[in-house]
Amino acid sequence: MTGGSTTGSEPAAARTGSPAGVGSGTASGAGPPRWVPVSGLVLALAGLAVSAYLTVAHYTATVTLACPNTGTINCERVTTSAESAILGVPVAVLGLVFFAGMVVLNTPAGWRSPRRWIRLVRALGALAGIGFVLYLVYTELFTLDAICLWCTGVHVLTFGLFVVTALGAAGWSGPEDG
Amino acid sequence: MAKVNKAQRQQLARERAEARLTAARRARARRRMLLALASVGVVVVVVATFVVVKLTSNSSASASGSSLPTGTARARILAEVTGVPTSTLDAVGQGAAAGVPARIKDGVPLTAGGKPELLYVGAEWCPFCAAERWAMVVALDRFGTFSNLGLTHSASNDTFPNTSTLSFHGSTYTSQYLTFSAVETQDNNHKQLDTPTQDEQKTMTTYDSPPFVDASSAGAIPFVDFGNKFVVSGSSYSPKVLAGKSWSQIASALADPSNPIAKNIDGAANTLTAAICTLTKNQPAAVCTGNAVAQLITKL
Repeated sequence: MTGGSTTGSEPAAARTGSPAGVGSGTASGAGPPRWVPVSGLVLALAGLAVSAYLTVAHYTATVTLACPNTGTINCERVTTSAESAILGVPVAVLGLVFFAGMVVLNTPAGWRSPRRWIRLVRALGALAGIGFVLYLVYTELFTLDAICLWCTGVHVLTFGLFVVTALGAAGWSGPEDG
Repeated sequence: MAKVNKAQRQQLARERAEARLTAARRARARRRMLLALASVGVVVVVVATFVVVKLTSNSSASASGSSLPTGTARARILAEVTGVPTSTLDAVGQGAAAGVPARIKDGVPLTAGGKPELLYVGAEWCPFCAAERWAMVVALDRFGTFSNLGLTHSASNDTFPNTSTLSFHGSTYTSQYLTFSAVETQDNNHKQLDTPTQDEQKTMTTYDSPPFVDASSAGAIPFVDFGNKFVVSGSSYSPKVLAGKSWSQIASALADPSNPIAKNIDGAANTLTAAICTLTKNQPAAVCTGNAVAQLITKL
């Protein structure tokens, strides 16, 4: 860990450890704890895969979501609702674009980059993602009265990305750190 | 000696500065971590609040016997299903309805209260009844007024499970043109609701069998008898078009003639309207002489 090396001395975080241990783990150079890019990339790739499946199901009449219909659990009611598109763009496509972007931003290179704007875009992306998820959960529970299991999977993955991004940003150290 | 003291003071000052810097960094890192954990906590609290509110509202709904749309949501649904624009109905015509009601030759006129009678026998668990009720309400609303229509869904363990629909159980219908008698025999858990009178049972036994209906449809519900002049046994369209749709989604689709739901429900409603017009001697004229209905009357 060499974060804060501009002072020419060993950074305090390396000597003392940072809160919750999230400041330790990078082998060298600027960046977050080592577990952050790995977790972020795995979550983003999983989200990309599920979003791709939902998008294919949306545009392909012959593909029906593998989802039970037990009243409250009802993917079709959710994915065919008026709320399944925003300004004509299917929510599944928005998810696909979101996770594609998050895959790029969550690569190890993306996390190690000292550029502040990359960290800013990643943080704003995660924030926008979780905000949209809260809107969708509200819509499922109170407008549609139905839960789509695949959508819930995407929501959980988005929440995971939000947690990783928040903790990764908090534990990030580098030349611009401080 | 002075040089040594100066060097020591400088070294001390550097160490103090570094210590302050270290403390400041640790404090900043702690603040960032607290902010991150707080933001995650906010999300968790919001989702937990959603779930608790939902479960609480479901519990109170269950306690009152229903988890169906209530209040303004229910009122909006009923307003939309009883307010389909005439222009939409005319634009749809027969739409995607499977056919027109079958004619009963030489049937003894069925009347009640001095008016021709329309008899419906069905059950809330029945998905085909679920489909037919939407069309029946759209059609009958053109001749009179419903009150206390219920909302329900078909059985969850039957074909086309949980099809959102209306219920005639407990409702009343008033019209200057005809009498509407509805019998919902069971709820969606197959518990007894309404019992048909002997005359109603006799009418069903007589006309819900060949030669008035196909042998394959004998005894089927929904059974709709239009004054012993026409009969419908089974639904006028497939409940498939309603699969996965909520009450509000179905109701709001009825005003759009290009919507598949409207093509089925409004189309079926037009065929039922045509049959009802033959009972009411084409009254009211505004309904029975409309383009779509007039054309369908010729098909009966």
